[in-house]
Amino acid sequence: MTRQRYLFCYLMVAPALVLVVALGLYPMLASIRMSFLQYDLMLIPTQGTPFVGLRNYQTLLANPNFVQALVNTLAFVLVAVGGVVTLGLLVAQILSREFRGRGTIRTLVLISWFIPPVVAAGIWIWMFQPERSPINEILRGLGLMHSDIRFLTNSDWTLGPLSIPFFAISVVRIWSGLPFVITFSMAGLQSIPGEVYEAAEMDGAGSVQRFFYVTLPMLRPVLTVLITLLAIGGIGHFELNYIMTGGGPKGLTNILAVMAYQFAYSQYRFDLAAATSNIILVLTGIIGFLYVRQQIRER
Amino acid sequence: MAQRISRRDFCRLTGTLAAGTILAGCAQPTQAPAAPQPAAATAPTAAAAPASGATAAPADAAAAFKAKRFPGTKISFWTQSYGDSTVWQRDYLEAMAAEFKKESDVDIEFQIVPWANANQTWLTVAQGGAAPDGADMYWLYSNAAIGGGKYGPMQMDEYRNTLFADLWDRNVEGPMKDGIWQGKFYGPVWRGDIRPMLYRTDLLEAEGLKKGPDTWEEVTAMAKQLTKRDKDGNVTQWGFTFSNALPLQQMLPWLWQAGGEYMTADGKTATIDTPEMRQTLQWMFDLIHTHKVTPPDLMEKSFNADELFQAGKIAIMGQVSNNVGVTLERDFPQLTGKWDMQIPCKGAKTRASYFGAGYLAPLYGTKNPEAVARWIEFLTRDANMQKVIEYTGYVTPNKSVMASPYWTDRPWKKVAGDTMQYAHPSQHPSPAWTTMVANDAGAVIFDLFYNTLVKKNSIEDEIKTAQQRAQGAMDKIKLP
Repeated sequence: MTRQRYLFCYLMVAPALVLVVALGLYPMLASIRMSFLQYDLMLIPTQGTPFVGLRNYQTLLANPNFVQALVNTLAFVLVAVGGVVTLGLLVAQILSREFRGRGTIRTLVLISWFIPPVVAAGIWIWMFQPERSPINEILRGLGLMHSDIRFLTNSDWTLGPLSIPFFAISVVRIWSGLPFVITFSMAGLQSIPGEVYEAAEMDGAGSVQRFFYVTLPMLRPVLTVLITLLAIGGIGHFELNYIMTGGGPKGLTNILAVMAYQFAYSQYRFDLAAATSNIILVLTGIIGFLYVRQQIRER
Repeated sequence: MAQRISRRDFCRLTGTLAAGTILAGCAQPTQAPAAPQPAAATAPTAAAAPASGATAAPADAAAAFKAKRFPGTKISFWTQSYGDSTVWQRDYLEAMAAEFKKESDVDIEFQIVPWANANQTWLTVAQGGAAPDGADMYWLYSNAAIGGGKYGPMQMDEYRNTLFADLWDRNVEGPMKDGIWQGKFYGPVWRGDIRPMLYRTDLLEAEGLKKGPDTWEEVTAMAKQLTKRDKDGNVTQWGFTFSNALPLQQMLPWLWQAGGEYMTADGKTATIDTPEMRQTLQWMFDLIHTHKVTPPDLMEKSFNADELFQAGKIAIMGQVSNNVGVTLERDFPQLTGKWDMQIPCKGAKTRASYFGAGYLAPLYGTKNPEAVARWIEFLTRDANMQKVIEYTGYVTPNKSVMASPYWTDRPWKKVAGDTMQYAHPSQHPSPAWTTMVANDAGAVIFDLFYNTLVKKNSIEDEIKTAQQRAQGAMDKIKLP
């Protein structure tokens, strides 16, 4: 009987396991293996795919464009995750209050969740088109500036990885990630008992103090999961950067996932693409490891 | 009774799965069995005669070939989408397939390949991924080289003098070369993308100009005259941009006009370090940065020359895809009478227009190469080519179609037809060309143009670097 029950359990999880293994684990292991081979499509017919050890990783690290993409990837994660969590928490706080039209505003805020990244990128490319940008139109109309901002192409001003195109794409990434953070945060906020706020208020805590000494600590478990998920997603992010700028101008918005794609499909260097992907894997693995370690410690 | 899976059992299960996966991942890739060769491949192969020099087979042999039927045969055919994919499949492909079935008994199963995934799809096919029996493809040289005679496009030289004996008389020779690789016939080129010059007549007339520039010198002079700035110095109207195409498709025709090439005709030597390349880069640099009459963002992905042209913010585009004319007529009636086309201007040496081509071919792995060849022959008959070209709006090497009212009923269409005589194939002899001219950072030619025209690096230094890198890329492939 016990054996039958085990079998039943295995059968129930088997479809999911098969999918994870076929679509997740196997490609991952194949990619790891490929990163140690010479896998240049132009050379395969004559040389095959010989083992080259760490040569692909050495090639990457010697490439300044790769280093720039690595720094950009981390900077995007910091700015985009930081921005979306801060803004999301703020909006969630407001939307958790009772006020007229709350339902409508909640719906409106969630709209960007339903817009596919490709469509979102198209909309924002139009918004950022210097000569036709409504943002430029408004700023010029208000007399705040006299020349158009080239949101996606200006490379004149840079500060480390920061630049105007970097911030333009960050804005879009924050905008597209906002509904997820708001939903998560609102769920977390609703789980905080009202009595805790009442007690804090009786102790003389103002709204800012209540936020920092009640809300934030009680949201910590939710925020930890949220930030972990966003950081992992952010490191592997591809669509918006690829569609909006392709990594330009001058590599200012290039990130690892875009670079991996360029290695594979523009240069036919699947070995370098695999090595780049594995660096993404390592970075996300570190975040996952830190998260799991913290969870274990908290138990 | 135990209700839970014990930790030990769980570990045993996951361990088994992990070990199995690792073993599978580490296994040597299984060599695919040799793809079946066309039946006729075992027969003596026709000599690889030049495209135009193919001698016609006896008419009765060709007729017998064309009369053959294939009852119960089903072939798969992949094609990119031209316009609405549903309409393309329903109104054109399936209608053609129904007609073909009447004379051959062959059923055709279609699959549409979105343009966004087309490069990846053909690359996967050329590496041994899932492939149809036949397809509408492009970039023959690279995909044939990657396939190495096992995968990807399959040569059909043996049908050259039977099924396709009259193809060379019915088509313009130059563009047809895009379907021939190392002397072998892979398939007929059916569509082309030719690039005449496009300009805003209203903006030119406002400056007293009646037509677009005919030489590089005139381009510079007119672009200066047509560029307008507001009181703050912002450009409100650009005089000139090279093209509306992908970055390197914008750039390369000007090198060809200067008399340059980036590799030799045998595909073995890079020819980037040449006076023609210097002259081209310097001329382009001057338009962008010295005279400031060409948008500096033209190599960036978000740059949209079409939108600027439609909004009257660019006066002249040096080369545009011929189907821009169709788009302007259909979607921008308010611009009627405000634009015109002319043949590309003459550079330091010659006129040249970018010409991208699409060809039809069987693929390695097909079990029905004869049926596929028949289907391709059917599609490329004059009457059927007329239908597909009227549907897609592309130019074609087919002489009859280009002489038909469809391609001659408007002045701009005649210009597109006239531009065909200046067509320069986009493909280059070394299969490495697609990696060299990819439109991303890291590709040799992209980096050369980007680093000089956008980053403003020294032309001399960048040319030296590009020459070395290009030679390295080309040396990977040993051509006979």
